[in-house]
Amino acid sequence: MSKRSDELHIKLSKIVGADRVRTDKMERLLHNHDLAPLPPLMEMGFKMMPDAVVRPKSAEEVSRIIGLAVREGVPLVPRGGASWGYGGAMPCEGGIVLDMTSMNEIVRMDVDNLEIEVEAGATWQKVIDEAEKAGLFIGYYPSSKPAATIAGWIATGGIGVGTYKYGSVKNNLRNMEVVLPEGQIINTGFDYVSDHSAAYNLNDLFTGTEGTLGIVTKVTLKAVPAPEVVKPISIMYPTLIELYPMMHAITRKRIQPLHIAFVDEHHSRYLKAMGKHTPGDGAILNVVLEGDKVSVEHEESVIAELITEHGGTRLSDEDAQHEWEENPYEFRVREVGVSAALAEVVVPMTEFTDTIEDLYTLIKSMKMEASVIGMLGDRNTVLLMPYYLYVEKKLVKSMASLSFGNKVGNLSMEHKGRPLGFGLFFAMNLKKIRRDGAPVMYDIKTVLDPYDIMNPGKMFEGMTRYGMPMPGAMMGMGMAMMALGKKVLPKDKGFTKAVKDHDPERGHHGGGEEKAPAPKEKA
Amino acid sequence: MSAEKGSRNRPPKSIAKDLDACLQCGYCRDVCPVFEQDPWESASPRGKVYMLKQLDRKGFMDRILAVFDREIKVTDDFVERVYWCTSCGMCEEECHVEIPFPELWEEVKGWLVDQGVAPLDTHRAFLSRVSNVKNPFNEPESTRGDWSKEFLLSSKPEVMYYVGCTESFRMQKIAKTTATVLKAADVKFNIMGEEEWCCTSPLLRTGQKSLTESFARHTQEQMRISGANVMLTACAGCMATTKRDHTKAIGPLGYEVLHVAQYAEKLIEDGRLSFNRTIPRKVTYHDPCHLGRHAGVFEPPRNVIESIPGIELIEMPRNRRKSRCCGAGAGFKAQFDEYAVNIAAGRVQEAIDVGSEQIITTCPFCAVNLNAGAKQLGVRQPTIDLMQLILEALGPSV
Repeated sequence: MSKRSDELHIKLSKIVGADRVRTDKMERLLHNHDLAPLPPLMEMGFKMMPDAVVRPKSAEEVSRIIGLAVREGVPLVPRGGASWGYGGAMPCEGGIVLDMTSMNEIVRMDVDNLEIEVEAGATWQKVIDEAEKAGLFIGYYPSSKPAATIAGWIATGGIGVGTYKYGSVKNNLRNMEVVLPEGQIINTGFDYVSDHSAAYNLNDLFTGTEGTLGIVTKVTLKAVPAPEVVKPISIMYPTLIELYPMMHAITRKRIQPLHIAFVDEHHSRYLKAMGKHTPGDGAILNVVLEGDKVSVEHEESVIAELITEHGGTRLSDEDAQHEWEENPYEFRVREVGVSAALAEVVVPMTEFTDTIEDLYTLIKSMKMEASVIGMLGDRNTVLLMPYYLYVEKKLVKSMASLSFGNKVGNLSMEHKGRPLGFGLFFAMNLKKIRRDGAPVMYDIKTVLDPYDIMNPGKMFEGMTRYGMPMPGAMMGMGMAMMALGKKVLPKDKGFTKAVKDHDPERGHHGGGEEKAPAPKEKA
Repeated sequence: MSAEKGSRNRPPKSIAKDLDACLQCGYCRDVCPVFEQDPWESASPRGKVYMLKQLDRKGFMDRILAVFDREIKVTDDFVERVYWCTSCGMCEEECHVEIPFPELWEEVKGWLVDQGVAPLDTHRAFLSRVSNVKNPFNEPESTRGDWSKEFLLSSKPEVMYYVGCTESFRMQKIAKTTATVLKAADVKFNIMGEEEWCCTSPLLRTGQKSLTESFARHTQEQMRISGANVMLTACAGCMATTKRDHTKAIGPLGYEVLHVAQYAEKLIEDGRLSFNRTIPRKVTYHDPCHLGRHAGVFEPPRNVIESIPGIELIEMPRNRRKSRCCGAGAGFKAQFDEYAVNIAAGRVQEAIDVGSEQIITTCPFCAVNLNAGAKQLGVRQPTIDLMQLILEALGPSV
């Protein structure tokens, strides 16, 4: 164990007690990554191993940990469910990882005021479930709700389920308790009422920060009364290109579905090849309606009319329900033993067809096994999540996964869109994507985090292990070369090979004597 | 500190594909009962898989990276974390890529046992005891059938009642109750007595596989001698092991293995068992992991409960496939009793929250641990075996 770890262990123990500090090598290793499979080689360039991991239980503890970090000159890395893949929750200059998931209590379930005050490290699943028990509905959450934490999603500012109808989390924040990089504990908004007033909107400022401006410890979220009906509808088309006119048409009607999402034909074919339940091998448009019975019936009839006009096969209610329940499980395909690298970009609705065609051309030129899935952020914002399958143990292909993300990002910008998220991997893109807004962001960061201890290296380019900055241009060039390298390698067959050996009947411990129904409450 | 021995420090090949499949999404964290007790990443299924993944891929590069504080090896801490598991299988249930986790954990434990760094202290004793006296409680074999003296056993039985170690030596009351219920339905049954050997569940769940094949053959031979083609168990662990693991070890058994809950359902359907007494009581049913998720038996015990006049069966929010573990399984209670009881207390609280007056279950371990949980909470919410409820409903004439 390093000397710094030993010292931090003693000092952190004084703040939170020895039970909630760990500096052993195993625990630190488990906090040196997020969803992205990084080759261990990266450790040579960046100090990805944290010096200590701590689980705070209150804003006061967080504040004191920050005080310690400032005094010691040690970086802090806040971490939620670590279910994102851009390296946002992993150290790159060592330091203290704050595992926020022990701050997971529901502080106030306020049915009268339609809001929920919750500690920042609770999972979205927990908050959704508790709200439901109280007769409230949270209509906005990340697809990764079983693992993603409240503040984790706030830090990404992302698009998710229900963004189409309710906006993202940033549109549903009443207030946040944030600990600033010099230790002050502040409130960013107001409980009970909206912040439609003068003065800078701090709720917005502290959203999408990737943990670079402070640590969110408590959040007050808006809720709505529970709906009478949640009704998923699925429509199948031969290809994603052929699905587009219907999706476009829905957005140009005044109906307001909760969620609109799609998978392409390749996604369906991978699942089918694995023996998973899938309604067919085409592209599927999933539209989820929600609200009063009469309004849902009306919206359903509008969709039925559009199907008559634009074609498509409406799937059974059972299949639609299945598609809806499978929403958090986008990567079932990995079960055969392959990895999936994901890119996230947004493009305008009008560029959809051209972007998809270019994406498929890119996938073909990089000789990849890949698919495109996505969802709508609003009537004109399409989130595309192309993923490519590869064998993680093969270093070159593993590295190429990063270049794929970069290429897709560039492609989106050619189509009036942009990639989402920076983290560690795409920090070099901040100036390119935020253009003349980027210097303002640098100024804000400098003012609020003068010691540069708050998640350094994320969003803003960081330092390598050797005290030198990682120049964006070099990183970009490196990625371009990796992509080029990928093009000259043989065609990917990772999935095709793996699926041949796959046994779909495996699992569930030999059970299945009864086909078990889902949990149900007795009426 | 290091528990690493010899050169076999790479995890078994049989799990390599699952390690590749894991995307580290973390859906397994919040549903894991032991993770909740000590919520460090190293205690979560995701964290353990990440360690295994690094061990699986360990190579030349890792030697260089050791300079940078990155160390990949099997330590005592890691071994303990692997055993920090009740084998409840909720991680599999929630898994993004459907990794068959209970099997995976057993493979990993077996691998650690082969390396000589596992199992943990209390688990080691299981092996010598089961090997010597055919039960993990170290009780003399000759006394195994002592509880049955008051019952008329059939030499030409319809069914063999495989009593199990816990009911033979620690909870004879449940064994007697089960026998009384069989008698009430006029079922001709017999037991194996001192020829009944442990099903080896406590060994298998802790990675000790050596005795299962010979013990399974012995049980198979006893069944052949008995002439019966149905073997009943009143223990969820015995049921899952004698059915699934014995078949895995020696091939088709040649007889059916049923839990008494399943058999009681049949007896009721056939009109051989009927209830005379009305029991006006709100009860909930706790699915034992080994009978529910692992063996797929969810409805028969519920159907039996609901056929009793007056009983109101209320479900806890986490039921059937999503049922919460009682906290006792896979040697967890034996080694980490305090935490096991904490988990049980949480489960008992769920029962109280839905307005239950009594918890019904079908596994003696669950009953013991849930009762310990109720004691910790200081509440009156007794857990009883389904057979005890049946006996009560049969009325005073039995």
